[in-house]
Amino acid sequence: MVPIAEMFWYAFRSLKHNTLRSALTVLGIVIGIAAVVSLISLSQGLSFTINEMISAFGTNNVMVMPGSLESQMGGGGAPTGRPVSGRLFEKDISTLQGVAGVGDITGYLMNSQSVRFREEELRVSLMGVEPDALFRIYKDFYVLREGRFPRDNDRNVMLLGANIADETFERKISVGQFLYVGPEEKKFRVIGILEKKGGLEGEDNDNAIIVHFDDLNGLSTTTLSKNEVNGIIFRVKDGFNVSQVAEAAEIKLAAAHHLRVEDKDFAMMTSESMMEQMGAITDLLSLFLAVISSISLVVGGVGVMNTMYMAVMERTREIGTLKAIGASDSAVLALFVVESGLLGMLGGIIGILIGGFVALIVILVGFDAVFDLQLILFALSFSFGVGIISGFLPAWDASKLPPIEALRYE
Amino acid sequence: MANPLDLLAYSLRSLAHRKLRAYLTVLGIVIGIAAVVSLVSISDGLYAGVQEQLEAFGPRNAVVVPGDISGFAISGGGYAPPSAGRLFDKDAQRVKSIPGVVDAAKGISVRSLLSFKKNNITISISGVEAQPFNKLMKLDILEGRFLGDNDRHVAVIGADYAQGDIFKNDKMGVGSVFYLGEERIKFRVVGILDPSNSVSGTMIIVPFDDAKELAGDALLEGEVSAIRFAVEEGYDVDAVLSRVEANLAGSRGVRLDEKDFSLITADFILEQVGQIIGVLTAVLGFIISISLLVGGFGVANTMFMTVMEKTKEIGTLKAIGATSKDIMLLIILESALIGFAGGSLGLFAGWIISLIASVFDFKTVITPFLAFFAIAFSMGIGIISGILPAYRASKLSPIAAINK
Repeated sequence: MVPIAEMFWYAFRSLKHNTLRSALTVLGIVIGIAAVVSLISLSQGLSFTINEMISAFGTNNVMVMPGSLESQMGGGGAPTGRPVSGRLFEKDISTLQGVAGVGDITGYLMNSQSVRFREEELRVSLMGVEPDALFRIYKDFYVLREGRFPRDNDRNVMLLGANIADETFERKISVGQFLYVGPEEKKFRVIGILEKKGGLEGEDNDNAIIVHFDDLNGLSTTTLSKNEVNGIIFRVKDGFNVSQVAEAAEIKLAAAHHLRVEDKDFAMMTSESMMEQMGAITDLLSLFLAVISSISLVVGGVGVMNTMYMAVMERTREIGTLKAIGASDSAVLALFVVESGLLGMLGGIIGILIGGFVALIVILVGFDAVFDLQLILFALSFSFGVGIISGFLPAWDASKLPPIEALRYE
Repeated sequence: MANPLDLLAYSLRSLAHRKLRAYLTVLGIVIGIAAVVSLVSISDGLYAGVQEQLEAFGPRNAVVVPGDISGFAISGGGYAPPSAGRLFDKDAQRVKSIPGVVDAAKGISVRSLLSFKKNNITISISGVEAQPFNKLMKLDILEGRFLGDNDRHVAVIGADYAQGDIFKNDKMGVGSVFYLGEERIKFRVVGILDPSNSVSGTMIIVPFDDAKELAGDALLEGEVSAIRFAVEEGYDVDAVLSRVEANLAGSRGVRLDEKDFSLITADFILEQVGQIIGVLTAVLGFIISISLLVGGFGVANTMFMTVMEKTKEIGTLKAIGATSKDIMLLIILESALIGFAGGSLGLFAGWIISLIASVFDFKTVITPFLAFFAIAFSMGIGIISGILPAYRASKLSPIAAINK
């Protein structure tokens, strides 16, 4: 058996023999691997961003919504058109409070109201909550720019997101000014404005209008029944396992609704479960893009196969000589497979460098991209694999050449 | 002297290898073109499907809704984007009075609690003026009838309530009774919509006044959620639409570019959806085109090899008077031929893939433009990939080439 190192050396020399052909073949693999690497690093960056966004809401927080998660997709409380079965009531809050590990808790109302500032009237979404509990639950999420947070014994005050204060109305709103809500023109005083977060993750923060639960409840709303809430948010106490508490809460709430857990008419979302959900989507996206960009690798592989057939043909005599001096079929097979694998790997290395460069540019532009050892190893073995697979048939042909005839070949 | 049989075998093998090289080069192009063709055929099919669905909306129909929705605001969280403007009865009157407008119908949409047997769900209810709405939408009824102008407290329901599992095991039928709102107003089902209609299967349609009753304080006195109308035959649709727009904006004293209402037509929706499909197709098409680039390198590679092998032949050609230009053309032609073969076969393969996709309920369309584009594009790749090898061939010195 020929030593592996010697085999590599032999393969390397024969690649150098026809530099132009080898270079063009390698280039095909380079492009394919660069495309796969940059697309995977981009989509992994996307999933990283999404996870960051979800954890920003607090990993100890749990959100309870009526209906199934599917019927709620598209917004908590904003009509999606899909029928939502199941409702949540204030008594459900007390039920959840009885679960060990459930800490601060608040129900929330979310509805669209006409809001007037000076002469301008707009339809905007308002959220009604128990302020003390909410700002303890989301203490890391909401950051004040000016003023203060509303408190439980405040009435008719508002906390505004930066977009609402600065952009939504023609004139800027500042702390101390008044807004009028609903047909009865209920007067609210702005007592705080939030720091702007920007981007998709800042959407919930920047467009927020937060008022006291009772204030919003007092306004006319027809979509909710008496004591009904749009959802419930609670924080799991430190020292408790979030998913275990959420599971216990699920069982208790389902029982209170006289339903089996499988038939539950509400959805319980933890940051972990949301990440799982979103992860499934980004994984699918990642896979889809990888498959599509792999088409170019298939084409590159065809190029490798072509080159290897040429190499076998050109070296027919050489193969004859090798066999005549005792090289076995499998040694010849290995020789050519290694050569072809080397072609692939060479393309892979350069492709990874280019893909890493693309990822770097993406990061510099301000997006997230993940470019880790795992991806590098994957791309390297993938390109080597493409080379080996593409080279197998030509190598098989070479190994089966009868030595005498091969030696006579002109 | 070699055995003639052996010689034959060797030359066959060499020929086979050369042929094989051409096949493999063509295959590289085939794969890329097939992928592009099937992608575009699926996206064209998607667009055609949307177009077909919108035809049911009616090319002469339009809806006025409050707020400026040009460019579809997408909201990430639970907060709906802020919107200005309301529509009132008097706006409907105004629209109705514009020449060319027929069948103007006010609509209210209100989210309400629905109780049926032991099930409670929350759902969006559409209140419509029965006669003009029916004339506008021409909804097919599966069972029962549509609303009449004098009906109160009856409903026409989407097929999902009669066939789906919205109520677990309970199903609604004509004559079923359900309750809407907190006050539990009793409604009777008089008709079920055919699932073939272009509207959602979860739609619930009730008389306008009933929806108004359900909406209660959520709507102001005389406020409506939408005004539907059609443009009468014989009138130019765009002209009437812009008249409606100008008239409504004028009555509110706002300029057209700050209007607080939107006019939605089939064309408007098609444009929006078309944009989304266009972007998706462009991104995927770009990624797929990378494989065509790789295929092009394959062609260049093959052509370099060919030129190398034919060095002697080229030298002879030059010696007997072929110009550099002739040689260049010769090689580029061969390379374009590879591209053409790849394009044609790729088109065929793409067509097969789109046929398979249509078995899986994807609508696919291969337009003559797509077919022409696929072949022209692949020929272009062949020509471009052939330029460098051809240039190299044309620059060979005849003496050196023959001596090689």
